[in-house]
Amino acid sequence: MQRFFLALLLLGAVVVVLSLGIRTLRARIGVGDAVEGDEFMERLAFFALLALILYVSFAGTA
Amino acid sequence: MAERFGGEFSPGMSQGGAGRPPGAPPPPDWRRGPRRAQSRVKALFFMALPMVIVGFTKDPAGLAINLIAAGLIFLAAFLTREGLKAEDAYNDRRVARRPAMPRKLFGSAIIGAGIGLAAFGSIGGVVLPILLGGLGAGLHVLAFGLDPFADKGMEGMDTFQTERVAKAVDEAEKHLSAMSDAILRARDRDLEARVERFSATAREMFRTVEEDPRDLTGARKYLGVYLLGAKDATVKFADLYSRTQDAQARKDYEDLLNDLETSFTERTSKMLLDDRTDLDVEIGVLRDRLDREGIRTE
Repeated sequence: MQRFFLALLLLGAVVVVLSLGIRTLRARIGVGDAVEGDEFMERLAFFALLALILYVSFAGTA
Repeated sequence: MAERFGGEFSPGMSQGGAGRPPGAPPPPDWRRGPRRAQSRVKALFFMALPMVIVGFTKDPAGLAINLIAAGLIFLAAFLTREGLKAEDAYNDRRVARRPAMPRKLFGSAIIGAGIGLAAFGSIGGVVLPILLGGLGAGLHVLAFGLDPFADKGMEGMDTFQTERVAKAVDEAEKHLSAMSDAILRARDRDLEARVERFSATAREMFRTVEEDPRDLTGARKYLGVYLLGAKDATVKFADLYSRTQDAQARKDYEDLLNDLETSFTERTSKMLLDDRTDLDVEIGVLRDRLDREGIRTE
C-alpha cells in the first residue's frame, strides 16, 4: 500500500509539473496566461492537501 | 485556467462587434475572477472517496471513523465551493458587503477536523492527528485563500440606500439567471450568447447603480419591470422555439433584446451623465465660494 501511495504521489507531482510546464510554454508562445506566483503556491498547497488526505486515508493499511 | 471557447470569428461574436446596437459599450470580460479554483473543489469532493473505500477494510469502529472523516471532508468541500461562489459575487461587484458567514474558513477548520479524525483512526495517538489536522487546515487556507472580511466601497454611503440597492440588484440577478436558464431550452448557441451579452449590458447598469444608490429611483423600472418582462418573454419564446423553430419568432425575440439593450445602455449613460452634472455643480459652488472669500488666486 505504501508503494501504491508513493506511486500515486509521484504521478500527482508529475501531473502538477507537466500542467505548470505546459502553461508556461503556452505563455511563452503567446497563446495563454503565465502562471503567477500566487497561483503557483495555491496549486502547490492544493496538491500537498490532496497528498495529505490520501496519506491519512491509506496510512495503517497493509 | 480553463477558458470558455469563443473569439472574434466564433458564433455570436460577429466581427467588429456588429451584434451590439450602435453606441453600446463592449460587454465586460466574463472570464475574470477566481473561478479557477472551482475545478480544485471538484477534486476535493472526490478525495473523500478513498477514505470511504479503505474504511470498509477496517473493523466497525475504524469504518465509522473513516465514514465520519469522509463526511467532514465532503462538507468542507461543499462549504469551500459556496465560499468561492460568494467571493466571486463579492469580486464582481464594486460595492459589496462581506459574506455573512466565512464559508471558506469554516471549510478549512472542518477539513482539518476530518484529516485529524482520519489520522486518529489510521495512525492512532493524539498529537500526530492534531498536527496533521492543523497542517491540512493550513494547506486549505493556502490553496483557497480566506473569505473577504471587509465591506467594499461602502465608505461614506447611506447604509439604508445601499441595502435597497443590494435587494434590487439581487432580484434583477435572479431575472437574468432565469433568462439564461430558459434560453437553454431553445437549443441555439447564438441565442444563448445573445442573452449573455444582454446580461452583461444589464450588469453594467447594476454596477452603476451600486456605485451611486441615488440612481436606483430612475433604474428601478429597468431592474424590475423590464427585466421581469424580458424573462417572461424569454420563457415563452424558448417554449415556442424549441417546438416550432419559428424564424419570425426568433427575429422578434432578437429585436426585443436589441431594443432592451439599447434602452439599458442609454439609461446607464444618462445616469453617468447625471453624476457628472452633480460633480460640475459641486465644483462650481465651491469655486464661487473660494472666489467670494478671496482664497482663490487665479
